[in-house]
Amino acid sequence: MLALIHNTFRERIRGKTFYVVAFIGMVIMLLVTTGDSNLTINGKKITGFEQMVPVALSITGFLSTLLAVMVSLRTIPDEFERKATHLVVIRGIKPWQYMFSLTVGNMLASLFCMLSLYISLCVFCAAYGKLGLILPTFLCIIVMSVNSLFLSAAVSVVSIKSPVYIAGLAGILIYAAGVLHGILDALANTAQGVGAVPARAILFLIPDFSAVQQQASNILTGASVDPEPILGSLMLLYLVLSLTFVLFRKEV
Amino acid sequence: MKILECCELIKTYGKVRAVDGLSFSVEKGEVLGLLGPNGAGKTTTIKMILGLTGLTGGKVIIDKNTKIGYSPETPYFHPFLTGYEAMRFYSKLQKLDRQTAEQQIGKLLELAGLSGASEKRVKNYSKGMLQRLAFAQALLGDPELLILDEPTSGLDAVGRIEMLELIERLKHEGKTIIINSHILSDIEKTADRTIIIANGRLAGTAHRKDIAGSSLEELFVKAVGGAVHACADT
Repeated sequence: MLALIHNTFRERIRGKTFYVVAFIGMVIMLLVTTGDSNLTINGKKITGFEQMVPVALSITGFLSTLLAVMVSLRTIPDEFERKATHLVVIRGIKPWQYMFSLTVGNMLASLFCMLSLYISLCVFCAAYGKLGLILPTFLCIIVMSVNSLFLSAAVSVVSIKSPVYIAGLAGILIYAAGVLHGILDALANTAQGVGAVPARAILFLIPDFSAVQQQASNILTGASVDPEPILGSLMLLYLVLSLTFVLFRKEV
Repeated sequence: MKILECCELIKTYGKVRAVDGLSFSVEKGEVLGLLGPNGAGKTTTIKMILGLTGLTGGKVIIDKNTKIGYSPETPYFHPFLTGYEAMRFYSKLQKLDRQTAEQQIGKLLELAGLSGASEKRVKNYSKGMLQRLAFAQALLGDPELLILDEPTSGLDAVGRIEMLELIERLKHEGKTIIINSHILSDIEKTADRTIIIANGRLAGTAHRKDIAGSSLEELFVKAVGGAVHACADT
């Protein structure tokens, strides 16, 4: 299994994705953390580096989730379509081992994408002499990575049975539902009729991305961190990963 | 001693019967040729033997501990890997220890004529090189049964001769080999016994000694074009 995970991860690393991501990360961090900003809070102009860090982290979180979808949606369908599966399955690798390994490989690649964006922020922290920010921002990234990992796993699992475009669409919908979880939850709880119960059930299976992001921000601001949304997301991640044990395509 | 036995194999795709009650067996140390026109059901039969596709009916009898090597018709390797890395990847999946793997990889890449290209990325390989790499990976772990699907596909004249010589060499080493090919001369040169498949059924069997006076081509045309008869002694 480790060989499969390593191979999946290596495929992503050797692609152009990481170089593009690292470059985009540098550009975004440069734009966010330098120069005059028009962003104001309570009428006060936000120009200080420390004040821009939460903004930079939010952008990192947003880009990372998008990258998680992009990185994860092709791996499994490509394996089946190119018949790369043949030379793996005949070597006694069980379907669940195969799917689980590819999914974990995707998750690691997504995490690596996030870290490569984060490294850009670290570079600017060092450049501004704010080395003290590196540890708290790293903890923020760890918490925020739960969203990316979940999205990567969910897209991978959907792609076991579905073509690439369905997996991509599912990823975007899950992301949207995760970000708007609070609003959708409130709507579903007030809704009546046939659709209310399935809507609540679907929302129950999608983590609250905003809540997780909020906990990450709390680390930075020193506010208390509520572990519930993070643990809830991890539980759902476990549930999604367990689906790799039962899903496989008939024709390999 | 039989190493593999296929009994009344059936495979249907919707209403189409790709394989229709095919039975044959393979003796240890034998080279068996699978011959048939395109769409005869040869590749589907191989996939059923390897467990790559489910059986609609019948059964494949093979000892679960039998090590099988497989070289597909259109081999696909992850393009970002080098030839050596691809071999290493498959050796890891086979759980070969590092020392054994290194020894075998070096030997097999040399055997396949890819030693000089082992550090080159697979995406830069020609079709012939990919075919030879597929052959090399099939031999990893010293399999008892080797299944080669169109092994000379994509090879030039020299490559083809070399591949057939390699198969001959493996045969002398006592390997059991199943060769699926539509090239009659390849089968004629290498196989001890050939089964001819048409419309998913067994259309004929030819032993090497049987075709001494005539050509396999004649038998093939007769079996495929003429009355289809099943051989009971398979």
